[in-house]
Amino acid sequence: VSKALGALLGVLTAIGGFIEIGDLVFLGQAGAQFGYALLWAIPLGILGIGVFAEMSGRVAATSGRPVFDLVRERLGFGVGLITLIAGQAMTLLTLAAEIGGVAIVLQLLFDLPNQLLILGAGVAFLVLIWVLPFEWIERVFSLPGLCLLVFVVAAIDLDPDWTAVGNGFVPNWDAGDPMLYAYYFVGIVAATFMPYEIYFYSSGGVEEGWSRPHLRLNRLTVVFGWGLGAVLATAILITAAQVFEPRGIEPELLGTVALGTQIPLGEAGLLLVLIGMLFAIGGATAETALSGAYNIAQFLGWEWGKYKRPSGAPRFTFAWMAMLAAGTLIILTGLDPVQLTEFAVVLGVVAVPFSYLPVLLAAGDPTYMGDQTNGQLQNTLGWFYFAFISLVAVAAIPLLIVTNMGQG
Amino acid sequence: MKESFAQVHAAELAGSAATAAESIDPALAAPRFEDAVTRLQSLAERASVALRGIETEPRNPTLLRRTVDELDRLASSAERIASSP
Repeated sequence: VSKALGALLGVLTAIGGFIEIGDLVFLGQAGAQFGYALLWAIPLGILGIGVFAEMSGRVAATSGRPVFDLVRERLGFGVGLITLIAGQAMTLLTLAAEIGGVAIVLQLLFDLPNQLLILGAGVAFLVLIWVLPFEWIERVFSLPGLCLLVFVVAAIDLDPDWTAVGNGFVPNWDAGDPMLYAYYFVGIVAATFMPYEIYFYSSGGVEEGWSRPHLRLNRLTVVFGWGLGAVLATAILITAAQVFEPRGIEPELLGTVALGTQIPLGEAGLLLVLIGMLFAIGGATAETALSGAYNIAQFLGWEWGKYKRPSGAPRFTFAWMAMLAAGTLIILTGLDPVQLTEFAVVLGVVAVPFSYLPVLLAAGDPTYMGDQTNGQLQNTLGWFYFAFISLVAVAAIPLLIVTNMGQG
Repeated sequence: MKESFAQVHAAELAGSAATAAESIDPALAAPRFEDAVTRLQSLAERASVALRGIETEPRNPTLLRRTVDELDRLASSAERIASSP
């Protein structure tokens, strides 16, 4: 029973931790501008990140080695260092955007000065990450993040045309300006493929002491946790398509995205979604801060892990604290968290293929993985998605420029 | 919570509308669009002012109703300008 409960908790944590500020921004805007026409990007992205996550979890459980350990080993120091710098830069920008997002939601709830809330959030995360053990960092944020499931209720309550919703899962490049359509497609896929999620997932496997008996938990978490996360993402897009598209509203603010549930469900819907946003974005804040520290510690061979006392991994501890401090300072300069998110999400996807390749190579190497080596299906999907995400990475920056960050 | 949300979100939207009004410059528009751009700029300014009303008095139901009507009118006017030949 305790094993089943543990698995359930893992799956619930994965659903609650699935959505972060990048998903809220891109799904809301895509639904508002293109109705259901970009729904197909969600399963395409989820399957890809699922393949990648399952592999990185399997490698971590089999060999005890997380992503940046493999990056250095498989790509060598030079290319590995470039990957590290790119990954760190994007993780830091994402962290800054998440802290800003937390401050915005707190401001919507309590109407306190934004700069004070940013500073308060930075200090609060410093204390929480210091005090809480790894498992509790995940649970404290991800389980209340499940309040975002109110989007599923809202989407159903809005009674969409389900045939039109079904048609949204088929690519339709005639839905509007093709460049904007491509930009939001890249945005949705990139928000699903945020590199820090894999860094955190694979390092988390090592933190929790995964070994071969945990391989089933790895698969369950990926299939059910992230699969149901995809249902949540779909609901956010449907809600935006139903509420905002007919009114010509572009939800460029987090508060506007939240109003998508207030219209069908009233004040309770708004309160639930704000609580869900607060914890989901808060969870992503903790994950990005720790991911930054994991990456550098693994690449440089430092002692690392939240399961160790700070004195047992001092450079790792300093690294996550420095990430938090830097992220807080960046957003304190007055940058708009939503625009910063768009920027970090779209640029972040450029770093993904370099993190993806070492995991794919390790997972397909029988001398390394033994009986847990990729099968034919896993290899085919793995290489297909490597090619796909490389294409997305190549297209990302030109689309960002041509569409003026989606402003047309 | 309701008042807090209304105040903060109205302030953000008012800020966006004011930024939009500042970024619209009729002098930069082609002569045949100059009039439409001027009207759009004025609509953005009026939207910003109306939203500031919610920010300052989120508990005044009369003002809220008036603001909703005003924003509806502004949206219809913007729609007409956008669809005019």
